[in-house]
Formats: sequence, C-alpha cells, structure tokens
Amino acid sequence: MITRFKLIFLALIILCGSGCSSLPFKNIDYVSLDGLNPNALRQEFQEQLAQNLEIINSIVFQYKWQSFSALGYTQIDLKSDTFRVSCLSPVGIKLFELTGDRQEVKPIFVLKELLQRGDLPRAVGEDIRRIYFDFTPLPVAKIESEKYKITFTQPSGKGELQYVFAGKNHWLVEKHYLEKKHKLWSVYYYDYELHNGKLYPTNLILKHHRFGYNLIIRLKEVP
Amino acid sequence: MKKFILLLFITLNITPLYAGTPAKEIDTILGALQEKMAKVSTIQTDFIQEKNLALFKAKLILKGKIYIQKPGMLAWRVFSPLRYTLIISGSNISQWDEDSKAVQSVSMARNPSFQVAIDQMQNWFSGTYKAMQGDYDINLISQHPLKLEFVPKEKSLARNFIQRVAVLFQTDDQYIKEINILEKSGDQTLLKFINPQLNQIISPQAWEVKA
Repeated sequence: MITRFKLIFLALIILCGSGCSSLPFKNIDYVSLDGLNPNALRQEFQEQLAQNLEIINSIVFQYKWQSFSALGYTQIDLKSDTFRVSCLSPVGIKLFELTGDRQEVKPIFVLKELLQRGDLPRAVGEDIRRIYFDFTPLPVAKIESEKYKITFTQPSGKGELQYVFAGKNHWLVEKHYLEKKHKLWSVYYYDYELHNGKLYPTNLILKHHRFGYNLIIRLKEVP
Repeated sequence: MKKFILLLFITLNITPLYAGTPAKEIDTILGALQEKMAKVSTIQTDFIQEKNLALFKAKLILKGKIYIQKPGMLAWRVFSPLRYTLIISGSNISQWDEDSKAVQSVSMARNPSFQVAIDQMQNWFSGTYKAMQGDYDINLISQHPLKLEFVPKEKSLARNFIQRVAVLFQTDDQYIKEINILEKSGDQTLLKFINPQLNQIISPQAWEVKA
C-alpha cells in the first residue's frame, strides 16, 4: 500500500501535506422502511440508475493524515461493465488515462514517474469497479429487512458483497465487501442527483479498510 | 519532466502558414517580443482552459485566474470545476483545494524535477522564447495579430508528447492571448487569457494560498 500511496502522491507533486478526515458529507436521514418490498425496491433503483455515466468528479485521496486532490473525467457503461478514465491535476496536467472492463485494464497514458513506481492502472481499475460495478444486488441475493434498512448479500469472489438500502428515497447507501466476516472495503453513497431522468451518485466515499486509505468523490459536472 | 509542464498548455490543430520561417526573421521577431514582454512586471488575468481529451466527446473546462509578479511569483487559482490554488514564490510552492481543505507545500530544493517544470512554465509566461529555440523550431503563423508556432525538435524531450504549440499574442504584442497545444495523443488544450491587466499592483490576497 505504501508503494501505491507514493506513486499517486508523486503524481500530484505534493509533499508534506496535511489534512483531516472528518466526514465531508451529510449523514443519511434514516426513515422507517416498514412495508417496503425489497425486490421492488431493488428493481426500482436499478431502473432509475443511469446505465451510462459520463462524469467529471473531484477525487480526494486520503491516507493517514495526508491528502491530495485530482480531477477525473470518467465514462462508465454499467451494461457492458466497461470504463474509461482520465485523471488530471487541478491545473489540468494529465496524470494517467486508461480504459478497462471487469477483467483487465489498458493504460493509454501514465506519467513515466508513476509507471516506475507500481501498477497504478490496476489499482485505479479496482477502485472504479468497487464503486461503480455491481451497483445493484442480484435477484438471488439474500435479503434481510430491518426497520431502517434493507440489506442484500450475495457471493462475490472469495467473499460476499453486502448492499444496504436506506433513507427517504431508499436508494443504495452502502456497499461492503467481506471475506470471512471481515470488511475489506466499503463504499458509502451519500447523495444522488437526477440528470436526464437518471440517477447519478454525487457524493461518495470508498474506504479501503485493509489498506487504510479513503477516496472521497464528488460529482462536479455531467458534461 | 519537461513534458510534465508542457502538458499544462494544451492546444489547437493549427496549420502553419509560414512553415520554415527564416531563422533571421524569427530571431528579430523573438527579440522584439522579448523586449516588449520584459517591460511587463506584473500580470493578472482570468483564464479559461479547455481540454479536449481524445478519449471523450465533451471538453473539460477549467476557469480561474493567474497572477504573475516578476521575478519568480506566480499564483494559479482555479474556480471551477474545483476551487484550487497553486502559489509559487521563489523556491517555495504551496497548494490548497476546497475538497481536501489541505494546504500542502513543496520544497523546490528537494524536488529538482519540479524545479525544471516551473522553469518551463516561467519561460512560456515570461516570453523568453529565444531561450526555447534549442528545443523548438519556431515559425511565424501571422504577423497581425502575432502568432507563433513551436514544433519540438527531433531530439527534444517534448517531441515525445507534443506535436506543436501555437501562441497567439494580444494586438499590442505585450502579452499572450492564447496558448494552444496539440499533443501526440490527440488531446488538445486551449488556454485563453481573458482581460489581462499588465503592470498593475497585485493585491497581497492574491498570494494567499487559501481561497
């Protein structure tokens, strides 16, 4: 993880940074979900969700007490499970650009300095998949309904994916990946916006519990 | 590392009208230009940076303000899509952005590669184009308004990334109006300077890293 951190860190030419990790978004307002049909909820969410997202995000990478920001131009096709991303510094310098799908990542451009220090494309590809792929649970997922949330759990890789739906709109608010009952990473979706009648996640945090880093992502524009 | 900063000034596809401008003529033009720009001690200008990424249909547009005070001070403030500030003061560099809310500093002495990048940036902005003749073939595109094209030379590091750079000057040739860069990747960036104010006193607030 140290290598991963260093390579992204160098990309932005930041040293001696400091930052705090207080929660940057408003907490979810939990409301009673009594009487909701979980399968209908899942289906409704899937139908509302944009299937082809072309977005400009700001990305804050946090590791321990340090943080830095970048801009990401990202296109994700949820039907074909493919993505394209260009990551730039806030002054417009391209740091890397890549395309990928569920299986592989193809770098188009990566700053030489980054290539020398680790497999950045793979790391970025994995995080994009964690956040945007498998956005809704499968129909076979196990359902657990509680007063304020509905949880779907399905097998995934060596572990399982857990989806939590909650809030007044009862949209997806959390996604967790667990192995042997331990959370390895989580994505918290704090807010969504409608663009052209479709839902886009706007404020979210990826927490990688094992590696100890956070990605805080804010939707800035839908071009 | 030169390419690192060259990517900052991205581009348009401009066909040179006067490809292969005689060296003597270019020398004269650059000399006159350098003389005019040397009289500029401060610049404050709004900017629009349009990045046309070959991978995407839409442009990424950054807007902000640049302050330059010779020698050695530069503030690059981005207002959208993310509020961000980069301040260079001599050998000190600091930056801040609204999302991380972190102020970070970089020691130039400890980052020689960044020093090279900063030197490149200052060359473009200060108008010391004669010094760039070692790395670029420079052609005159038009005299009124003055427009120059910079094509990286074969052995130049920039040639790995840049096809050409076009620089358009204000009507009085005192400062840059646009910098366009066409990259080998097909990406294009256009950096437009809007309402530049020359030789005006810059407010001390411009050098504060937090917006």
